[in-house]
Amino acid sequence: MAQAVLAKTEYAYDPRTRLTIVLCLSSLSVFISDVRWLLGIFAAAFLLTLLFKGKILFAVKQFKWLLPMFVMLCFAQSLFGAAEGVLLQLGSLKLLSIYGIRQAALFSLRIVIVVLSATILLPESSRRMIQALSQMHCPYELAFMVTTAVRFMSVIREEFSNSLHAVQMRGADLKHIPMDKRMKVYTYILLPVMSSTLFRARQLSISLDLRGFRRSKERSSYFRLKMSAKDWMIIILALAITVACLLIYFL
Amino acid sequence: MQKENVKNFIELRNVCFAYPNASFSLENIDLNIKARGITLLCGPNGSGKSTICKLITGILQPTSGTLRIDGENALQMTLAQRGRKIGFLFQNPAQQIFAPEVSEELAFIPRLLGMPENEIEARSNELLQFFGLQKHKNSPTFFLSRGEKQRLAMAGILFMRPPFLILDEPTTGLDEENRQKLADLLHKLLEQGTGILLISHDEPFAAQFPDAEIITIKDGRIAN
Repeated sequence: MAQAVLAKTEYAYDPRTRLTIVLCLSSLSVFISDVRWLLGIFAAAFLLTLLFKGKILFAVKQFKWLLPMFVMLCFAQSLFGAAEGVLLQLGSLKLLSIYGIRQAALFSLRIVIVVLSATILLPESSRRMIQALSQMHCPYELAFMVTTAVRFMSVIREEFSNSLHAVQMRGADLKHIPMDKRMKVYTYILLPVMSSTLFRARQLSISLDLRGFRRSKERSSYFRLKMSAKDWMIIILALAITVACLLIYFL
Repeated sequence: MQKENVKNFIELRNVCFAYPNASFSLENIDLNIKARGITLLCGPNGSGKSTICKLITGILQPTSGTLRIDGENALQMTLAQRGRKIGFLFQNPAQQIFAPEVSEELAFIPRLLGMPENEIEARSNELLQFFGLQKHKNSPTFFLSRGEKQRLAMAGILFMRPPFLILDEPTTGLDEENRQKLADLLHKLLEQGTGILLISHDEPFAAQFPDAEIITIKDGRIAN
């Protein structure tokens, strides 16, 4: 039955293949600290996201805050970082430096690569993802928790957005109030969002227990994922390229 | 006869809306909602009642059409500007309560907007009294019952004295006693001249407002 239901949707790649690609791209972006290299990894991440039908538009929407963050980091890193290539100075204060711009670019590129590559996982169903993690010998409980936590992200976002709408619907124009008051609003909103999320998590765990979750130690599944030759090739290639990149970069 | 003399507060003309990746859509909605009295928006689940409310309040934006609130082009108004004219009670009142304490919940937004403390205190006491929440003044909001949360959310909305209210399924999860309290409260507000758009498919509750103008919506279209 499960096989029949899941077979209705066409999946071109195994979830483990997608996980490997995401792992490789994220690892490269974390270990490599060179802007030119990171630009190359970004290009690869972009192409792979297209190939694996990841959600590029979804990722772009998450980057709205990236430009202000980049500007802020440029100044902060210039002010407190190494005095390399100072471009703008006020007395003894280094306002803008090559070092600051480079550090901000590194941070921004890393974030972009991680978010973009993470969208490669989005086309997968949570059932297939749990099964993939289980077949990778990850404990079922852990696999279930990971996918449930991912599902909760959208719940938290919706709750936060509802609370923000509620505040504004009571006449407070958040764009036109001072930053300290705006921060207070966000702090206030976080409280009910977190409490309601915890409440939902508690209800979910009670409901799971009532339905016999973890009743038996051994859990079997009729549905099994099978890796195709294409999946194996992509995984081997991805791992080989990642190791090669790291060796070339560090040696 | 008297109803006809009351001006329209909300006007929707050829309003269309579609959720991305969903088959449901609102098509060419034309609505006139009076500034005073009660208008009942009814229809089956998923017919588009809540979507219309979210379009009016600005939480969602129509794909085409015009929307006027109190004579002004609402599509050029911010959420806050619409909020000063329309109080919106969410389907789940817990979603619009954000302060840890009841008194703080009422005072938070007015303080943010710079209202004098003595006025905040006076209005808070008046509303707590009106909604029967005086004894919960210093209670944590998280532990209030659903009915109490709903009354608190309503008090929070009415604090800024909006001339119009939109109530989205306000009787969901309320017992008979709380439903009656809500009906009494709405009658009081109507007497005070507040306009109300009530979304409900709770027929016995709606029957308590025999003067209500009824708009039925079905499959994203106005049915009457």
